[in-house]
Amino acid sequence: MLQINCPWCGLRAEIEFTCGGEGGIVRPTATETLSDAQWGDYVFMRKNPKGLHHEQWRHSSGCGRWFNALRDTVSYKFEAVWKIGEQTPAAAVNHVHTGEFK
Amino acid sequence: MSILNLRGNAEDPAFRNAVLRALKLELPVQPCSSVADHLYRLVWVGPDDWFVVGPKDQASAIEATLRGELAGTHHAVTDVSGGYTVLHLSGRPVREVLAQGCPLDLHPRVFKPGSSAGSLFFKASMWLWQTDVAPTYEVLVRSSFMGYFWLMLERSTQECGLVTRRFQ
Ligand SMILES: [Zn+2]
Repeated sequence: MLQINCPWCGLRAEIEFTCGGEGGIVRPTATETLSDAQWGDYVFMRKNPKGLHHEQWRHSSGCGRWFNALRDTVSYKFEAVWKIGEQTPAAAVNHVHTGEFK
Repeated sequence: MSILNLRGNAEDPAFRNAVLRALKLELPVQPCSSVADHLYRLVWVGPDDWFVVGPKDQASAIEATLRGELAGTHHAVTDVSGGYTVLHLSGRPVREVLAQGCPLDLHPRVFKPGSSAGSLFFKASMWLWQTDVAPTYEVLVRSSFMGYFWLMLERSTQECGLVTRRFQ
């Protein structure tokens, strides 16, 4: 059974967790200035990489917290986990969402 | 049982001290921990989230005491006695019984009196903590899942037998 490291509770079974898709997507503030293409990018477009992916996960059956994860979509290996608001670990810096929309 | 949900800022000493004055128990702020005395259980369920379990028909009194002491601090106290129920599970085979439906490592090296965890028993969410080395566990389950939980408990105890007792 795959174990995931919750930043609060430590190593727990995968069935206690929910994946919330790509992480770090920031809701645009000045929405009235967005073009349709920018809205589309925010709402629908996701990276879907083969390899390292910044994701948000929730320890839904445990502490209930959302947290950040850097996961390899090929090997399923979790390279890093960190709390919401915590500094991005070095391993993940080049993979986190910048909050910019095209 | 009287079951209350307590929310507040674990880093605020005023909040922690108010809980200590109300329940005479130190608020468990370490993840996955719990404290217990002859009256109350205080269970960590998240970094700003606890369950307070007390004797039957005491929920209003506990709520009033907590609210009195917590006045002026950022907090929330909610009586959830109607939504949850607590089971005491004890006996030698209880780890094997729980292991059939729960992914937690309950080996005494890892999980001991004072530990707590939110997890699953088959498909039902539960919050589990240990109160002594017998071992005795207490399991908090949503009332709406109790029928399911009990059915799975009966199945999981077929090899070792299940004796039921009612607590006050
Ligand atoms: Zn957790």
